[in-house]
This record gives sequence, C-alpha cells and structure tokens, in this order.
Amino acid sequence: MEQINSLEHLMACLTTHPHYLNQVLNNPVQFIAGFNNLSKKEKSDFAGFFKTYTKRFVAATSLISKKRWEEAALGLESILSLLPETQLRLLWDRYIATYRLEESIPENPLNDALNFIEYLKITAHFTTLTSDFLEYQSIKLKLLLINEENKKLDFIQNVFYKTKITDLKIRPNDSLIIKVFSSKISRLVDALKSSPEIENESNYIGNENLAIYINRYKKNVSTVLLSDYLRDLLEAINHDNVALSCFNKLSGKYPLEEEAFINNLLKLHELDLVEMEYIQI
Amino acid sequence: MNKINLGVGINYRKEIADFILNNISYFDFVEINTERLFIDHKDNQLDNIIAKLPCVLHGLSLSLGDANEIVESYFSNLKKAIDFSHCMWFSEHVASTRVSGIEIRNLMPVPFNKKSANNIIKKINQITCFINKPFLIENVTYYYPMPGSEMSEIGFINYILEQTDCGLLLDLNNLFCNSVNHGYNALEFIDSLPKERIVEIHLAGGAKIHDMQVDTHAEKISNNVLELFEYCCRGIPFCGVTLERDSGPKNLEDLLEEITIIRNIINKFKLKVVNS
Repeated sequence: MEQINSLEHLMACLTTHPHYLNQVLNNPVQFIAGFNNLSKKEKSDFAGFFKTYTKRFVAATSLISKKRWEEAALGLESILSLLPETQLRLLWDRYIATYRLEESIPENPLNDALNFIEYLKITAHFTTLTSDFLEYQSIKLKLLLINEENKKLDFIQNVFYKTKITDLKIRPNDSLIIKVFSSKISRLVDALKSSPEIENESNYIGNENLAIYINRYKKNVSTVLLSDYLRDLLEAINHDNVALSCFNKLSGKYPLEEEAFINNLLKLHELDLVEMEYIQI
Repeated sequence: MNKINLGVGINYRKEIADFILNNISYFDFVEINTERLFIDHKDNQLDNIIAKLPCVLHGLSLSLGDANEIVESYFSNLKKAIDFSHCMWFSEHVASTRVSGIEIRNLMPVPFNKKSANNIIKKINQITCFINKPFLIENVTYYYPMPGSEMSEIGFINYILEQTDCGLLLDLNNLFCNSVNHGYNALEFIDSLPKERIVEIHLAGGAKIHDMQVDTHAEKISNNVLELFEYCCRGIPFCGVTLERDSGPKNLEDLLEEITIIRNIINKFKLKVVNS
C-alpha cells in the first residue's frame, strides 16, 4: 500500500485487479484508510466515488477482465482445445488472483498467456500429454515474444552450393531450442488442427525431438520434428562450428558419408535451423 | 492546420488487410494504430496499403493522463512511425493506459480537474514541439467520472484546447455513449466545442451491456450516431472521417455499405472544406 502514490494510481490498480473489489465494496472507508501516501481529500473522494458509482465501476472492470481473458486466449491457442474451457477459466481466475494490488499486469497479452501457462505448469496436475503440450506452447510463446519484440537475430542470408566439408563453418539459429518430449507433440498438433477433441491419449505416447525456433525466412515460429541423428547433429554444431569437427564427432556414432553430411547441412540451412559460412583462407 | 479534405477512411487491422486492398477505391485513407509501427511490423499488406492510400496515425499507449513523464523511447518510436508512414496527422486519447507503471491496457478516464488538464497540456505541448505533423486529442467513452473530478467533460476538453494548439478528433460513438450514460445532450456538447478545431471524426458501433451504452467497435454504426454525424456535417468543416471497427462483421461487404452511407451523408450535408 506504501507504493500507491495517487488516487489515479489506486484506481488503475483496482481497474486491473478486480479481485480486490470485494474488499473495497465491503467498506470503502476502511479500505482506503491504510493508504498512507494519499491525502485526506483523496481518501474522501474515493469513498464518495464508491457511494455513487459502484455499479458502473464494477461493470466497467468486468468488461476489462473479459477482454483480458479474450486477449490471453489468443495466445493459448490449442490449449483451449485440450482442456475444457470452464476448467481453464477457473484456473485463469485463480491465476489473476495471484496478482498483488500494486503489481502491474503485463503490457503484452502474449506475456499474460505465457505467465498463465507457467502458472498452470506449477500449480495444476495434468496428464503427461497435457503437461508436455503446455511446455511446448510455453517455448513457442517465448519465441513469439522475442519475434514480436523485434529483438533482431543476427542473420547471414547466403546461398550455398555444394562444397567440400573442410570449407564450411556452421552455427545454429540463435533462437533454436531443441527439446525432447515424452509425448508425440507434432502428432498432437496435427490432430488438433483437424479436430479439437482428443479421443485417446495413448496414441501420443512416445519420445519426440522437436526443434522450435524463429524462422527468419517465414518470419514466424516454426517447429521441426528431428530424428535422433539430426538432434545430435544440431547439438554438435552448437558445441563446435567447424563442419569437419562435427562430421568427425558424429561419424563415430552414425555411418556417415561426406556428401550426405553436406546435404544434411544444406537442408538444415534451407529450414533456417543453421547458418553457414565458407571458411576464409 | 491547413485544412485538407481527406475523405472517408477505415482503421487498419490485419484481418481485413486483403479486404481493404481488394476494395481500395472505396477508401480515401487508412487509420493505423501507431504502436503497430513501433516494431518491425513485417506486414507486407500494410506496406502495400500505405503505398496506395494516405494515412493517419492513431495512438493507444501515450497515456496522456499519466503524471509520469513521456519516456524517451516513446519519442524515438513515434518519430520512426511518422517517418515511415508519412501520416497526415497523429491522434491520441484523453485517457490513461498506464499510471505510475501500472499497465491498464485499456482507456481509463482521467479526473476532470485543472491539475489533470495541466498535466495533459504539458504533454501535448511536448508532442507538438517534437512532431512536425498536426496532433489531435480524442474524447473517450467513460462509464464513471474519476474521483477527484471537478469540471464537466466539455469544460475539461475545451480548457485543454484553449491552452494548446492541437486539433480535436471527435468520436461520435464515444459522445453518444457518454450522453446516454451521463444524461447530457450530445448536440449541446457539439455546439459547445470550437468547431474550427475539429479535424477528424470517428464513427463506430456500440451495444447496451450491463445497463450501460458501451463502445464496442464490434457493431454497425447506430442511427443515433449517424444522426450526430449528419449534424456535424451541417456545421463542421472537418478534414476526414474514420469508420472504426475492431472485430467482425461476418460479411465484410457490410463495411462497404457503411462507408457508402457515410459518404452519402457527407455528399448531402457536409460543409465544403476551403483550402487555406
């Protein structure tokens, strides 16, 4: 309460945190009494306001609350299909009630959606499939926010031709996140596109390697299903940017030929998963 | 400002970008949310529209009512948006979207009193000094007068206009909502405004929700608002009118019908703008 420095400041807090309204409506005079930075006149104006405009203020804040949910729901995408909306709304109400009066809601609704997913991950008990899907959506939202907030990623947009392995340097897309899920998330995403109902969760049991990243060609967040080999290749690239070193490292584990390896690199480059440079001699 | 006749425009949103491009001859200009241009917007359709139509910028995040100073990054972003769009003017709401670091993400009314007005005047002067484009302030819908209000809404707006050289964006649906919710006469409100300062008019739809007339931007323009618009056309030499719609309609052709209705009212009643 010490942080509230004006009546407008307090009204902004109440507008965005309607779960505090019950305390106000029970006794506005008692509620405002503890705000030591507000003047006598401000306290009197506040109490007078709630004598006359309680109904209007409650109605206006309920419109704002509804809008906040609708804006966050845009970032929740398929989670809305996976969980019953009534359950999700209940959990949303619990999430927004975690905000302290003087705490700001996020400026960007996508951040609200992300915070809500993080809240769900910690507080609610879901099946493995739902938990994995929440994790997947959380990664996607984080990348979407980076993309939206225009934190530009260094990008060398070159065209590459087949060359010798000794001529190449490679590095992963700066935004790349490789995640091993214990559910078949890519299959689930496809299934949700055609039907919002998931009939049998056992259809989605099994590990899956996904690469999630900002695709700078497409200007969106992309997901690529990786084989174990491609996952190991990307992880090798992450540790060493010399193509020959990566080849040597992986050829101990996989039967590799140089030409096929270079083709793999070109494919990853085409998908914007890696950047490539010719080594300058 | 030099009076120009910009005509009839529509507010841009991504969902109707193709529709605007396919019906470009219906629109004389486009109104763009300023903050959309604060980031690298990656929107080829918008770029295409800007190349074909004049545009005006309409802001949401300046938060004129906030007692805190305008942050430096806002000025640099605004300059970027203006330079990119070559807008005819830039407008903002007489409201707060952030107060003392609290994000509201909606338009919260400001207290109608001298202290609040003087804070807004100071900010308007900063903006008008900074940009080389006309700056307009818009009347907003308010469902309750903020505690600490000591003036009428019209008194508050006119006081700000007297102390600054900005223009006015008169939102007729906001005016209609306020006149219903607070029981005043909308025509008298219009008559009390300095008409020569009204540069742009907003038209939008609303709905009755929770026993209040609400500015939804999701319905077609009501006859009540069109009547106010006709009244304005008879007596105000404004420069442009924008149809604001933030969601729907199911049938986008309905937007063209509304544009035609607006244009017909202008053709029938509007005072001609004389270039000066």
